[in-house]
Amino acid sequence: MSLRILIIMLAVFISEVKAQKSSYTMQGDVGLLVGEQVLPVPGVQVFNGLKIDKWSSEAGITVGADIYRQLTILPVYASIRWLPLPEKNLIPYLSFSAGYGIAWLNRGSVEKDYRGGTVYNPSVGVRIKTKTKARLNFSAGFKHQRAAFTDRRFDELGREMSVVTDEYRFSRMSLSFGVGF
Amino acid sequence: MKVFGILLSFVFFLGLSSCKDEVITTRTYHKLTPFYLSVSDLRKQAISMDKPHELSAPGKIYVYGNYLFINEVTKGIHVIDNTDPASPRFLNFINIPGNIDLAINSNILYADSYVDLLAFDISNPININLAKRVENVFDNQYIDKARGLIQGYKDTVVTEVMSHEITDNLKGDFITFNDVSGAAAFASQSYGTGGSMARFTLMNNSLYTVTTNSLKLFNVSTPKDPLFVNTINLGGGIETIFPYQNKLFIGSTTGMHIYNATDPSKPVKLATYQHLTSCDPVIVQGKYAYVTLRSGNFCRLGTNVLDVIDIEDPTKPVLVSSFPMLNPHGLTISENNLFICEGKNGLKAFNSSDPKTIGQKQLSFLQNISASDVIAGPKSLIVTGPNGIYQYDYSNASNLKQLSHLDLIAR
Repeated sequence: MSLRILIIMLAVFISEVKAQKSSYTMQGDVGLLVGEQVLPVPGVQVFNGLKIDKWSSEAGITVGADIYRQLTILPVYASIRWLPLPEKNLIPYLSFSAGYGIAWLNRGSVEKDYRGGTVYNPSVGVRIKTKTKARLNFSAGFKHQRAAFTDRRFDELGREMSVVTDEYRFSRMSLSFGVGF
Repeated sequence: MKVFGILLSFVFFLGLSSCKDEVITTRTYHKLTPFYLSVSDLRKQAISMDKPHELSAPGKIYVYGNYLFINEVTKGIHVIDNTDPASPRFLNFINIPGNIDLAINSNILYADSYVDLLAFDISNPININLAKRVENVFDNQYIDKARGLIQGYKDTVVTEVMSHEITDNLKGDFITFNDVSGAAAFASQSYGTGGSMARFTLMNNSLYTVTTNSLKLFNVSTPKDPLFVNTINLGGGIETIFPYQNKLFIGSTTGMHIYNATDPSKPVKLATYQHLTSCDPVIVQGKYAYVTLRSGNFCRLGTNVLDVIDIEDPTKPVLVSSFPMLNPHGLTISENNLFICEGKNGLKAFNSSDPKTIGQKQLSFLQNISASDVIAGPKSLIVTGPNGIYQYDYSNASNLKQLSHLDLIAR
């Protein structure tokens, strides 16, 4: 768990540094993934992108971490945002991200194998300008993420006796708060 | 802003209506499916010679002269020309339904076929003939003796797919389940050599076979004409039998029984060395017996050790030393070398010159094979396992050299 948190913090830090020095835009978010009959789980993500003033949009890459009970997924996806009223202090926006969730942070073995899967995350949000360069973001959306876990059982002579594969399809409401520059 | 308010509401609605986690679980496993067979129908089937088959599910193995006889579980016996252990050659296959065990005496191969004992003349390995069938000697296999029915099992691969919603009641834990369910020469006769897992053995013109709870005794003084003598009740959990100097060492899940077979037709129990409930083949050399105990699915409590037992006085076996092992299966001893199969962990060789410290004198450890039983043959060390039959040059036990590998076809 501590390794997971360390890697997540590192990713956030690197992204922050990169965003400060150029015309790139970035946004770091923390949030919850909420579902029916399950406890909310935490998620973080960092968007690094480019402003496209002509279309009042931002496009870039989002990386993150979603810590489900069953496994931790690192989603890496392409993101696009549309901010139709950039001049306002309260800027509504639409966002859509789609990509692949990586399962590298889970400890695999000969017997246990984790695989990631597709992920997409449409959301709406508001951006609040502040007196500094920073801006605050609140968003709500829907996140669908796939992953799989395979458990192989062997007898005492190493013969494979059973294979159990669980294909997870997580469908959660995503609620997040973040800071961008 | 109004549009965004509507969109925000839509997202919440979408979220509330479809935010359910789902898991689709696919289980693939081997299952032994029971089926019923009529013994009379089985006997009508000709016991035939067939062209060589590939190894699929090898069981017991027997060395006789330049030949290997390898049981294909419940199917029959592979006959292999092992004149050159570096290049063994499949000669033919004997179709024997229900065959599990075998032993060879003076060119006569004894093999079980469900409830019957068969005797084959193998003096010409190219043209093996059935010499005799002794009927109904393994009658413990009948499920309905009056109707002549036995139960067989077919290994079936089953795949099940199911899906369900994940809730925190289920805790999202991974679904697990237990595995389903479900192989010397004495007197004037010439015997072959079986492994430590053998349930058939030959000594003093007699064929001794063990079932799970009894010893079945045959007079084979006329090899072609085995005669059933009697059944001796042994209690439950019987696994293996090993002959040594007019004694029978019988491995069971609870201990090692020692029988005096000086009178071949009337073995007399001398003692039982008891141990934890465990799977335990046994071999004997000089005044020591070597027993491996292992844990596993079918071995219940189980522990993983090599026990060395002083049997100088066979009426009072005494544990001399015990050494931890990984998951010991079959074993064999040749001169001053003890070889122990460690299941999927490999094969170990020990210097056995001092049995009391044998576990501390490991000579080599082959970790790239999975080994279930081993025979120190005249030409090679023969190791059986789920990945086939390996043969090694064991002239130097510290440096075993692989001579050949008979691979398996996929299950």
